[in-house]
Amino acid sequence: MEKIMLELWDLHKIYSVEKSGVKYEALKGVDFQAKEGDFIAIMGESGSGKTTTLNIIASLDTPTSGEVVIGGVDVSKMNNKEICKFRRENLGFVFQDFNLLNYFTVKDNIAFPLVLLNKSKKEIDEKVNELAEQTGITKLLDKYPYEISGGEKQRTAVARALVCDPQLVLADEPTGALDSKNSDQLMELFQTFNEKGQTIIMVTHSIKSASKAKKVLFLKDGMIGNTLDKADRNDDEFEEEIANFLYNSGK
Amino acid sequence: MKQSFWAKIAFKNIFENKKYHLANLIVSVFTVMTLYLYIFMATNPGLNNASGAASLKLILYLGCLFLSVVTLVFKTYTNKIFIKRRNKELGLYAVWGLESKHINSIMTFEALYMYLTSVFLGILLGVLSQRFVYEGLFSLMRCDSKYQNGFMFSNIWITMFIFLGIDFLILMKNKKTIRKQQVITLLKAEDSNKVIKRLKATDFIKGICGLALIVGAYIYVNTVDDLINSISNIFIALVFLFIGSYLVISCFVVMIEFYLKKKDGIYYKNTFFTTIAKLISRTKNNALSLAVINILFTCIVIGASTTIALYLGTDRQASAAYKVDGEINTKNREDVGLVVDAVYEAATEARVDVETIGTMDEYAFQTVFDEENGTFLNDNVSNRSLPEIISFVSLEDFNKSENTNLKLENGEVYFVPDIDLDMKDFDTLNVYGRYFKVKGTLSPSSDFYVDNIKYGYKFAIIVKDYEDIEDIHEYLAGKGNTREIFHYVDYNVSGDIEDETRVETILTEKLKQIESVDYYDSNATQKRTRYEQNAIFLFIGTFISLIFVMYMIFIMYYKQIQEAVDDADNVRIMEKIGMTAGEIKRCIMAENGILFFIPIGMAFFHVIACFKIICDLLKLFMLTDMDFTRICILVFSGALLTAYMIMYYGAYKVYTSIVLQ
Repeated sequence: MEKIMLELWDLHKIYSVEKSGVKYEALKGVDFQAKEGDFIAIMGESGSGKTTTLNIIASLDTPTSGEVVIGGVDVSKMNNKEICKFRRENLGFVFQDFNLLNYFTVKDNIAFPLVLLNKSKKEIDEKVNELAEQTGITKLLDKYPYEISGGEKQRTAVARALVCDPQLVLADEPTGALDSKNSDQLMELFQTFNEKGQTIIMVTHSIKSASKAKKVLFLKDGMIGNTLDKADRNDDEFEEEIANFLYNSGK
Repeated sequence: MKQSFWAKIAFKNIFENKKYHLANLIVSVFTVMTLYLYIFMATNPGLNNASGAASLKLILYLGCLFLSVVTLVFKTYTNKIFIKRRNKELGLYAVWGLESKHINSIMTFEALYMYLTSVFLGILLGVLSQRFVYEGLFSLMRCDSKYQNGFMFSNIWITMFIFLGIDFLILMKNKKTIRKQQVITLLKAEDSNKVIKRLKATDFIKGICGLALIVGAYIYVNTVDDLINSISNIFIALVFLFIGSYLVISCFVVMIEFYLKKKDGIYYKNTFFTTIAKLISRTKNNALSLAVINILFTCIVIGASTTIALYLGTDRQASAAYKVDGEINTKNREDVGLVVDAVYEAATEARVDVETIGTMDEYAFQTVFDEENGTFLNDNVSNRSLPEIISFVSLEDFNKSENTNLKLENGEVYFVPDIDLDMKDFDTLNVYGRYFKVKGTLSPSSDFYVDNIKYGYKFAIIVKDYEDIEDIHEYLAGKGNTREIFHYVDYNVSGDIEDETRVETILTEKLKQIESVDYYDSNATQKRTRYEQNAIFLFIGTFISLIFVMYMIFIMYYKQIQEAVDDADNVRIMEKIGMTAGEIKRCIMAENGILFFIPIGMAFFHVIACFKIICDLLKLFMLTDMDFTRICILVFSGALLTAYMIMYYGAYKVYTSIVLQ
């Protein structure tokens, strides 16, 4: 039986403006599960609740109600310290704007999560070199982020996200700041890691990027409207299906 | 568009950025108040009641000049930091379609608001506190003087004019800077700090040069003998010291940080990882500010503790001036008896006893002694750090002074070289072409020298009698020497310093009736005049030190806020990766602590290295108690460090609240 990696149960999120008392319900009961080795893309219009969902999964935000269970652990019941520990050990992040630290070299950016886990220098070197090779940035290890291209920055961010062997990689618009060539390369990278068993949850606006996933969830007005499974289709066929779905749902 | 629109925008800008403007405004208000008070004191008629009013006024006016120059320098520097922060905002104005004349209008209104606010508040505080400051200063001077209002509009105009000039120069500079830059440069200016400078070979050379400059300056200030004649060189050494400090911070410290980064056993530890990486980035970018903090801290400790030590040590200085209680000098030998009588009369009127009274004839002038040939001649080459003085004294006076019973034949002399010099024995001495047969070389007791302070090397020639002194005087007068023979009377009276002061007051009046009296000085006079002078130094030193402290804290506070705004995004990333708030706070504490205490640590080294020169400087003012000076410096340094730490902690709290909000 396949292991359930992520479970979201009746997730609600209400934002309220303190001064005016105005409330806005961003999530209205999101439910879904991801199995180990899943690659799920979350799509939806702006304001549909994609990033809120991802932030709650990443424990960067807390739900107003509902449960988030990752690898069998209910993260919504953890205190701040436990969340930080859980995040550094079990989650990897890839963001649209890369979120690399400018004062670290590429190597140190990748190594950062391992240093936080107090790994030895030997372990750090081995792991960083392995991931740098897999992401094709070995020659860039001594460079600073401002010295490399956007695509290279995102590869660095991917390497950093995977360096701790996380249970779950969360990607928020990872191709948003990249050109098409770099976007394709990045998605190929995601597919490669996913084929090796890495669970990935990705928020994206890009149909092409979403077509690389195994499943696409469509969020609408804070709820999951539809789900498309890739099944045996290839990337192009799946891309066409997603496009058709969006076209029809937009009518 | 109407100017009132830009005036409103400027006002809104200042209000919205009050966090940045407030610290600037506080320093400006205090500086205006200080300048107003200096001018108020210098022009106040009450100051004429002090004995050395003219020199005290001069010191105050020099204080005004110094303060104006210092204000211009530091305001220009703090403005540079400030305008860099605003580049993006000004670039956005241009993007929105504002012409440069509109941006100029906004900047002019902002400068005008800041100027008017600081001048108004500064002068208001000055006027409100002028009576308190006046009475406090006169109390420190130990000088009875009723408060004299002395309020003059001209003082206000002068203060306003000086600050108008300073602010106008800075505004012009800002306008020029903005005019010269492209919009895109303005928009991207803030990103320049994000570039991590790599260590280059030139950094290594610069770092070593910086260390060499500091060590060189340390060696120089600790080996210089003649303080007065080396003032310009000492100033250059201090400039080298501060350039060296900048190079050490910007290159040598960064080299150490890079070295630590290379040490895998240290760098790849959770505790040091982000700290070392961020320090490498921040040290170089903040090097100038850190060097300025270093200069200010050093100047405050040296300047303020010196003036405090001077004031608190006034009694010590006064009692150290002379070995006797008082000394009178008359040009006429026949009047020596009148002077002696005046001393006895003054003592009787003051109800004290004259314990000792001595007289001495002396013909003395500056010379250069050639030790090899035993020749006194102006053309000789001097290799001594202090001036050399030749003095002719009669055997009778010498025997009285030293309680000896030496004898001389016609043409014979005794030679008494300076107490601090080792001399060979001479058979003859050549004094400007006249030869003296030396019967012997004597070592006098320290009582032979009336002054406690060494102004020069003294070579005494003891001649047989007063006629011999007159003879050599006549001989040298023929060679163009214009010095006269002086006749000294020195005395000691019973009682304490209060009794001595009474004697001094009465004797001063009596001596006015003896025309030939050239000067009269006593430890009591020294005490009174020194209290006045030292109080003025303390007054100027305290206010300027406070301004320096404000600038130092302002730079440290402002830099921390600036860094915090830049660091906020990094902290977001750290949180996402899994750093706890506690870990982030610990990192910030370590980074900022190391960064902002590097200049303080270096400043302490500077102060320790400059201790000898501080002592030499204080000796010029006759403060010879070095343990006392050491205590003053230690206590003041401790107090300043405590104030700095409190302000640092406050700025750190602001930093963490910005990045973790």
